[in-house]
Amino acid sequence: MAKILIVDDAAFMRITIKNMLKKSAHEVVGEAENGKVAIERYKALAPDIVTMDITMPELDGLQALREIIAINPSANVIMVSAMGQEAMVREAIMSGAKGFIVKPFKEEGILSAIDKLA
Amino acid sequence: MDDYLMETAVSDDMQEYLIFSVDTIDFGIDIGLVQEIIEIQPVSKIPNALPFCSGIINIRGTIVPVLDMRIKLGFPPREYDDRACIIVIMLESELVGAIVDSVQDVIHISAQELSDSPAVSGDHLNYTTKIACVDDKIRQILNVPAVFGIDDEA
Amino acid sequence: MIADESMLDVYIYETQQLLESLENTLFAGENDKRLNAEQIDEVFRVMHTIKGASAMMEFENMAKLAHSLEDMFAIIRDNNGSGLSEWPDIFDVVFSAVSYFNGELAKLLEKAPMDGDPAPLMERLKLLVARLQGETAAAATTQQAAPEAAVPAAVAPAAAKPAETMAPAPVYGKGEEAYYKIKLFFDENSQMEHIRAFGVIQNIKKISLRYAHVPQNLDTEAAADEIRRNGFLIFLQTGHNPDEIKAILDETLFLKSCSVLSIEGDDEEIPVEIRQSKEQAAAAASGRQTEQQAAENSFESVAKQNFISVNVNKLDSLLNIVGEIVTAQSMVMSNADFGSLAHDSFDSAAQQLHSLINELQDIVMSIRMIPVSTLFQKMRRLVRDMSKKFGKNIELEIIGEETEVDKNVIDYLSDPLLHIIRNSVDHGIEDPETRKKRGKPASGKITLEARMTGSDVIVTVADDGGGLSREKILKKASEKGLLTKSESEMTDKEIYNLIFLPGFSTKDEVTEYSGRGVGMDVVRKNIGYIGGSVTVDSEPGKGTIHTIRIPLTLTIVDGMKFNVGSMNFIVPTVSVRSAVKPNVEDIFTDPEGHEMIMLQGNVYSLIRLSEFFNVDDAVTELGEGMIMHIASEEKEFCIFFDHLDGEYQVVVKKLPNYLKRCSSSLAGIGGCAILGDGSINLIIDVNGL
Repeated sequence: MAKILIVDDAAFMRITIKNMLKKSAHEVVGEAENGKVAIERYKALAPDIVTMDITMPELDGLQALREIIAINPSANVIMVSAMGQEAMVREAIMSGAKGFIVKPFKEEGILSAIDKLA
Repeated sequence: MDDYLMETAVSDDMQEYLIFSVDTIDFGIDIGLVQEIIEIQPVSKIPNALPFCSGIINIRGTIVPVLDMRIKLGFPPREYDDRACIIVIMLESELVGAIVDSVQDVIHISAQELSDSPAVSGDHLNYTTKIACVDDKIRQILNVPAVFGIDDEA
Repeated sequence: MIADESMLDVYIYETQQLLESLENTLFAGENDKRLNAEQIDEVFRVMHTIKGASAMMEFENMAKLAHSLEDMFAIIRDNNGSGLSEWPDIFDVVFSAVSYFNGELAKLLEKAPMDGDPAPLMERLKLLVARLQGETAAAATTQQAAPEAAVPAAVAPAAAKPAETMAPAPVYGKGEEAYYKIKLFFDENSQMEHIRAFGVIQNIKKISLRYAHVPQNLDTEAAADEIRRNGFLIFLQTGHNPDEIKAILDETLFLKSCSVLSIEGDDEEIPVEIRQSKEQAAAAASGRQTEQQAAENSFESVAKQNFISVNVNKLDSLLNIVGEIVTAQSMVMSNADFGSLAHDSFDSAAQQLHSLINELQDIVMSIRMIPVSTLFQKMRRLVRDMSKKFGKNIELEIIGEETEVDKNVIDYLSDPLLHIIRNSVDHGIEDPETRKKRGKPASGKITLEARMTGSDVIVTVADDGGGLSREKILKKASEKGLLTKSESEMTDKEIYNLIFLPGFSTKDEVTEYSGRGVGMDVVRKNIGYIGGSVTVDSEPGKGTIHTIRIPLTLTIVDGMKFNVGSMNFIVPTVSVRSAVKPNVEDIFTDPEGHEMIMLQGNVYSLIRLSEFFNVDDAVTELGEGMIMHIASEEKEFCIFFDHLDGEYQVVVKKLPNYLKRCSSSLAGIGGCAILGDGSINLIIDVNGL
């Protein structure tokens, strides 16, 4: 069982991911609607895994990822990307993201990714 | 079949709704449509405004039309107090604001808790097509295309 | 599928871009009456991408059609494409498919059901493929180039030109460490496999002395497809053992399977760079440094990007902010708090700020500039399709397509250009027989030109057709009561320009391309939105020329701010002749009840904006408000309003579409602007009043 932090500016996406994880053994310990909040929550909650949206206001997913990796170089961050974000996903991988999922994804997709890192 | 065709995502019959009230009635709107909720603020009038349109506001550089839900839903107009707020929703890739008396909270409603709205008279009867009964309270689920007039010809 | 508006946008945008570049390829190819290998590959790739994306979005008709086209181009590609007799049909069917895709995308944009039936096209494709296969078989026997067996054929494209596709890996090992071959597959539907492979390489890099991979280029969607089909191959030389390699690979998300095989360093399969370097490494120890340098450079050149794509919304916000800075700046500079005190150091600092802001504005504007080429190429397609349809022979000459205009201009220019060119093809250029009788070459010519003057961009559309009929225009105009002067007082040019007046349309019939009940007044209106103007001139029998003039900095407009009750307006300064307190005795009512005003010896009609816009809290006493004298190329009149607030530079924004449902009429409003204080101001469309 892993503690999970969901970062996404869209309430819709946070709810979707939460619902998908509901049936799994993992526990969603927190949510954040932008990169800034994500970093704070990461420090406060010390989650095992972070799902990180890329495009967000205030501080985007890439910058938040870098900050989190600076705090914990072995942090497990999964980027949540969409078609057309290839370049940013590339950068995320170079910056230490453990992998990525592509919207739209299915329950088994996100579960398999999280299970792997848990 | 072709391997590139994705199957439809597994549907979850629980949906989240934002509950707000106008006059004495609690309404629910699909949270997926809601972009944000902002404080009531002064609106700029527009030329030849229809009665239900309060005007336009500036949300971080985007011009957003604002509808008065009291008038749109057929309730008498009233001065808005500080509990009133503007629910900003995304309609046809544009933002539209709706002034409501107050916003309550977000609740889960399952498909079983929804039932067809009993036929009511009045010209706004198709504004709610479903009602939900959760925790002994009745919520009318807003028929967004009908209320915001996006199902008819512009 | 999870509905996602931004994905939909990306889908539409990407697909449109692909279709556009596809069309350009087709035009280039049509001149040669065939596509070359590179172009065939491009069509194949575009179809593939559209297929994949459409399937994700569950637009099955689009996906199916793209799939069929992809299949057909696979056949064409395998047959080398040369000497096919089917090329004209291939062009036609692909053009039709592009139209189909664009049509469906347009519906999608308007949220209309995507109900286009691809069946007729699919049928044409099927027949064409059958013919192609006949021809392919024939070609295969004559050339004795039997198709390769399935498995090698699948690997072939990657292995075919290793020298070009394989950048040499860094060479710094002594050649003692073992060689491995890794083959891995990702889960089905894991998507963006090329980036996943890129991720794997980031990890493999850390433990390898040298490595190479197939496909080598991980930048494209095509790579993802190859990985999906054939897996991702990595060749590496490393001191780590297979278990360690495997452990690293196992961390990869969505890894379906992977194998790590130990191989000989001179294995035939190893890409030539790694393999040869085994012997070379020792021999060329002295030259190693430069070699390594070169290798690193070549890697770097792949990684470095000089161009980024930016969402145009971000540019819009940037421009908005710059506009607000400009406004705020003028508020600071002319701040009354300074009074009449001398403040030299402030002035010089302010002057510096001013020039910096101007520079910033120039840069932002230049970022938004894009060449008109894409727009012009669209016209090429229109001319091609229409000439076919009307049995006319028309050549479209394009001049100055590299001319750059603001992104907004493109959006507003597109419809007017379409309209004008439709008219030229449909009604301007005569059919070949008439042309012969008139002693003209059988094929007509339309010249589309863009050029820059100091402050304007000028776009002209000229045709060598029959020209406008002075008599017909006069007749029509007088029938519709559009004549303000007597015929004898009007120059030919004035008469021709009557066609832009609202309510004027010489086209009674409605064809697929022209007409649709839309007249040239819409052209003028659209151009007017961006502060431009359009005129027409014609020489009977020789042709017609339309001239569109657009200011360069259209999105920032100089305007006069005024208010009517609680509503704030901006009117473009170019249209303002004067603003005065009225002499009440100069205002009178004509017999039909219209208010008129006498100004400097002339009489103008007077529009009370409070009535026109239905404002209830405005000044109604003429003595308490103000009069503005307004003139455009179309009309001259006066407006009555409450109070003048001064001059501003504002950034023009489009009104939200939804506003049309909120108002009984938005006539007279061309857009809006947000000022530095956050207030919303409506921009007056002078010709709409």
